[in-house]
Amino acid sequence: MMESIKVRTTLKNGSVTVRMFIRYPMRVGGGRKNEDLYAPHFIQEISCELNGETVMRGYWGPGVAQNPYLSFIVDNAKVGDALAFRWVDNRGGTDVFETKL
Amino acid sequence: MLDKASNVLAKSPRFARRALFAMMGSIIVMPLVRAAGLSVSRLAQAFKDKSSEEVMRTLYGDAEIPLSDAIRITMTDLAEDGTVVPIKIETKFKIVSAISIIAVENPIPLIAKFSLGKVARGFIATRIKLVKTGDVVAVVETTEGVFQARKKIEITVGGCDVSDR
Repeated sequence: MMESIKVRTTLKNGSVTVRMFIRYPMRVGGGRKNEDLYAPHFIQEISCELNGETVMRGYWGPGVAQNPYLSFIVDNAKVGDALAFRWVDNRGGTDVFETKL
Repeated sequence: MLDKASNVLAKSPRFARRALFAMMGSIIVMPLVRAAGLSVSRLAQAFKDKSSEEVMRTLYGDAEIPLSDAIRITMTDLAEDGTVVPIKIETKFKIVSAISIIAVENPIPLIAKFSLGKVARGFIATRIKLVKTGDVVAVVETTEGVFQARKKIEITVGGCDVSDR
């Protein structure tokens, strides 16, 4: 599951608006047809670090929509700051994305 | 296993009952196995709770959470497709440590909980699934206490009864 995270950042007056787009099924499960295919499959934990410090950590259930979108605002940011994004799903899968402002 | 069971079910009625038992067995066992794998935290319990009241009790205790005008939920009043409903939560509080989104009518009411660092503002925008018409609750933890805001959303087509979503 490589390159599932896409991030757009807008830096304005020292605060950065982060918009994350994740390509991910976010399945609830419980389908009757084929249990393997329709088993729950969703991101459980998602986090964002600014220069190594966690600024946002989300705990998700399957109620977050397919191909999740998430936006949040971080203050005290400047050009050159490092942002790291990470998610962990309910099957132990994970993906990381790092970028600089 | 279930796949096999349903195949047998389709091909031969003789094994139908046995297959049905196998299916029922795995449905009962599966959540138990999954529960054992998770840490026994309050959050994990909150995701298992079946009603929004239970979720709030698990996360925030018995005390009633006051409504606040300082929280604004921006989302459509009427969503035609419940599978993807944009939601935006803004707060006027200075320091917000966490924001939870709860959909009252969903089978798993707790949608997400975000814990925010000191430099993150009290703002979250995302897209959620809603199964049917009902309230969406935003619970915000601040230095001044815990507050909530509610908004009723009408849904034409639900977002959780679709098996592949």
